[in-house]
Amino acid sequence: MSAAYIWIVFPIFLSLILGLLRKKRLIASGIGLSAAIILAGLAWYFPIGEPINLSFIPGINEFQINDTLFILGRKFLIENNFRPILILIYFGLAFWFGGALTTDADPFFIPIGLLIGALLTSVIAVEPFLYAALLIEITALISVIILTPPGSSKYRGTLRFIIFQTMGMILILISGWFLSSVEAYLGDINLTLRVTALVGLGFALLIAIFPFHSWMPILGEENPPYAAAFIFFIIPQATTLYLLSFVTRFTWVSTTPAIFIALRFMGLAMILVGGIWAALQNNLGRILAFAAITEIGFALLSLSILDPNFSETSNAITYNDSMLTIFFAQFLPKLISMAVWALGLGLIKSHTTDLEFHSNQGILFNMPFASISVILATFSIAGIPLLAEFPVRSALWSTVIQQSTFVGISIIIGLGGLLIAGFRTLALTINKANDSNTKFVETKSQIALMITGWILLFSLGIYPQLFNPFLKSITSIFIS
Amino acid sequence: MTFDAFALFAVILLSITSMALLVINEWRLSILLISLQYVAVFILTAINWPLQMAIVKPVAGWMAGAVIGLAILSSSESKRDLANKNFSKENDHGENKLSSFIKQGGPFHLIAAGLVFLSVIYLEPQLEKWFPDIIHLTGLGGLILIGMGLLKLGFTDSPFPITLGLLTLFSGFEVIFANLENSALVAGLLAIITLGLSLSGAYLLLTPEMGETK
Repeated sequence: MSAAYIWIVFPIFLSLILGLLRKKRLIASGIGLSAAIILAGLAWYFPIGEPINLSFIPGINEFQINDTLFILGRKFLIENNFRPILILIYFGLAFWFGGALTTDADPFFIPIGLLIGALLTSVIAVEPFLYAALLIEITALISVIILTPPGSSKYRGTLRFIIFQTMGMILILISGWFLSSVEAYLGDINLTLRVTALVGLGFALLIAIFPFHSWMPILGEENPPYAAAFIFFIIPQATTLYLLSFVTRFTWVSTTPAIFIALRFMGLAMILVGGIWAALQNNLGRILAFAAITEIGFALLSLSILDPNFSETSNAITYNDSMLTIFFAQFLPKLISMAVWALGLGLIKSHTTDLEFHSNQGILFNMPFASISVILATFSIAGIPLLAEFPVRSALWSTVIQQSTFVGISIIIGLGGLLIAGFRTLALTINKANDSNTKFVETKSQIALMITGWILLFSLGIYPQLFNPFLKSITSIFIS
Repeated sequence: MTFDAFALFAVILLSITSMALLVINEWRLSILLISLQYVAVFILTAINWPLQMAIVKPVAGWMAGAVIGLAILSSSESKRDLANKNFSKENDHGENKLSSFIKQGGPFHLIAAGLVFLSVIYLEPQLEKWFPDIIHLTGLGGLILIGMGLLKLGFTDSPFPITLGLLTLFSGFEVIFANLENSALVAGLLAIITLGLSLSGAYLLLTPEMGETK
């Protein structure tokens, strides 16, 4: 059996079945959550392309999961070294699904989430990898259902999101065709510049790089926060992985310093825009969106340190998998921080009219766990010590500061903005109006889930070494 | 069967349909126009692709049109909007048809479309330089659709015209991309995206009313 049947075809079929079962929400959610955990477990235990001993099952001695599946003449390749990323994808989905059970997320959230997981796996597996742009576009189109749930007339951000993703996909596919020409005519500067501009614009639209980020704050403000945060996490994650494929697979890209300089400045712009704007917002959903923009900035910045010139100027760093490790080390802390934030915000939104500051004054007294979740997640993304994102922020900062003090200071300004946003949220939640009633509205299951999230936030912050070897193993896909 | 002989007809057809889509607000006519546009897309694609693969384009396009049409038909809110539009049109008809066209920004849309056509005529030779394998009329047709699609996207913020704009933009890309890539998997994925665009547009048209029935 091919690995693609297990991690791509099966989740697609299951998501269709769960879509039909959506009215029996608890059953559908339970099946979806279990499937995500089982798929992560299968990736953990079973090697791909090697015989698996199944002698304990009568009639079967050995079983092998093959790495290749051909569909319409094209290859979907899931090799043994892909297993860590499969674990991350399906464990991540399980974490989001767990949260969806306790918030009033759309009944389609889990079926669509599973489908998105399958598509993300295809993004990594499809050969030639340029076709991944089409799969990212399909992911974006599918996510419309969870972003604008039935009954909602707030589709402004969703429409803008689709427009930008479609335009980005078109540019990437066109530039993909060009890229092969550049490999053939390496000396042609005009051709190289043209392709670089096309690829750059395409990715700017796909990853929501400033000024194409405008759909994010609108989604954060108007749409369900849990679904919006899921999309803020998934789409940039898939696209930055795709960008990494561009960087590592085309020799001329990885040897052109201008591309890494552009990545660095785009990353910095995103960190500054995200951080400073987050500090100025009066809506909790918009703060989440700007924090997600900052996260995109850090992902780009961590890609920019792959610059070969940078490794020459820095004695301490060489161009190897340890530099890619910083990029991948962000995955897990980002996942936990965004999910905890989304969970807290989703619960707050389900009990208030909107996420405006004036509607949520003193919310800590009604929803202490949700409020603390939001504040902790904000501080985590701001890189506060002991929280999940601190080790990776610190590692990235100490790496880039060797090259440029300006970059280091800009990061501090961006993170400072997020910190201010966190303190403003804290002040808002404890600032109780005199005439408001105090009624504790959180359930035991919600509290348990949020406390689990807090424990993970602190565990990742205090013991990053527990998870880093696993995250480092993902780099083998790209280094090879 | 060779479709080269019909290429000029296809470019003229898509020029008319894309320009008409820009100035006409009536939904039935718009869906008819987008369906005709997919005939032109089919002809231009069939120049580079085998017939059995190229036929996917109009099938997906017509299905997309049908999906949006059905969504509008089953949407009472949209019906109300359309009824209002028809009412105002009747009033305008009584006064002056030309003034109604001017009030709706028709001349401005036409001038903008003219500018797009001029830009396309200027850019097309450049495109041929960038993609030496591209056939002149397919490049022209593709660029016209992309330009008009972008224009349509810039003029509105409601789901129906935006879906039409995205379909126009995307079909322009499909025409150009057919010169470069002829994989069956890509043809399938492009058809899925065409349907996905129309389904998401239809969903956004209907979603405000879904809550009422919930």
